[in-house]
Amino acid sequence: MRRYLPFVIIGVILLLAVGSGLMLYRSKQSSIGPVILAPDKPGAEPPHIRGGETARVTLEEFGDFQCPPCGGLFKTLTKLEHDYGSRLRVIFRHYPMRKHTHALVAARAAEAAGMQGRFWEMHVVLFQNATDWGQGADGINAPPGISLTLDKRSRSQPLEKTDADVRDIFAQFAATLKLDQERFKNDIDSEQVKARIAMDQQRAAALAVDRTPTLFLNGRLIPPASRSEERLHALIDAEISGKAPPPEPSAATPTPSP
Amino acid sequence: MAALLSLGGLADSIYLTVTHLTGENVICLASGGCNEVLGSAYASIGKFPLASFGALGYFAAFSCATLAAFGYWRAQTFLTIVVAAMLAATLYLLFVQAFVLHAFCDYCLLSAGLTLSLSVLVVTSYFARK
Repeated sequence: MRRYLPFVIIGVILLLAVGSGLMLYRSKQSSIGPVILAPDKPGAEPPHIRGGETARVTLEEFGDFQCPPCGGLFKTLTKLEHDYGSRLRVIFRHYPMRKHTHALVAARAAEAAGMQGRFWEMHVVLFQNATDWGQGADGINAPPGISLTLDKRSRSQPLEKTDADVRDIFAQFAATLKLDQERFKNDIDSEQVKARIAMDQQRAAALAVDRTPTLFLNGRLIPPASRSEERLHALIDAEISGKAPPPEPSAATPTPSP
Repeated sequence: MAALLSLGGLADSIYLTVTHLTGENVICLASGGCNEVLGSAYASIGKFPLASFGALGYFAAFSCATLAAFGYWRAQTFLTIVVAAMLAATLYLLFVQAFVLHAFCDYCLLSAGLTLSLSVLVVTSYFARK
């Protein structure tokens, strides 16, 4: 009997460890639960979500790939996602502005990549290379892991690009992401892709969104003046700890997207 | 003694693994940098929380220590190997906390203390046997 005793002890400890871990996980799962944001409002389902599935803090962005402030926010959110890991959940919704000529087709390109499971990769590439396809966008640094080199033809073209030019560039992006090219080209004009964008636009209208980027933190609108990395850090920390957020900065004048 | 220390480390690692998976903040008592450390890119390897590897390490150390206590002498060798690997990982993570993240977390320091204690025990028992 003594010969087997250590194995019995090890087995008991293993069962206790796994059992207590599972019990703790279930108890925390049931006590946290994901934050459901405006469930009565429409929106593409499932939305594009990155980060912790059960995170207490959800940032929902209504963005436009051709809007320079969205590019700036992209960098900030990338940093925040790195800092908070699974404690933060980020949702991206499309709100392509009419005045941005190629924003709609960019949103479709992202959705078409999403049809092949690469929405976020295309999202990064579109923002990272916004200067190559959308005029006036700021230079944006992508997180490590995704780099892309356009051929000389695309870079040497004049600033004003046609829809066909932009689609060619997006096809190069798709090739870099190793997407099925034919499927990507078909999906970009598919009804399913158009419907998802339309659903996000309906959600934007329901939430009175009228500019990009518009950011909601656990369903509450973040004014443009509070979109700095430091301020968002403070707001997220307050949300996580359950304490009152620090006071809003003064001169919080909203600035519409250029 | 080594088995008891390993059990403490196992409990610590399980707690950190669960909080990582649920995305919940840990309760940080002394250092104040728990969420900064545990929310950093160093807190996971791919999709797996780093703490889960710690739990495996402590369970392995517990098993070896228990077997060694019951006279399975080869387990002592495995315990030395496991503890050496855990010590190396601990030193690297302490370096990351001190010089990369500039923040410390209570639970990581507790784990570091347990691993260092295990290392001391293994070394002293080695010399005691000689």
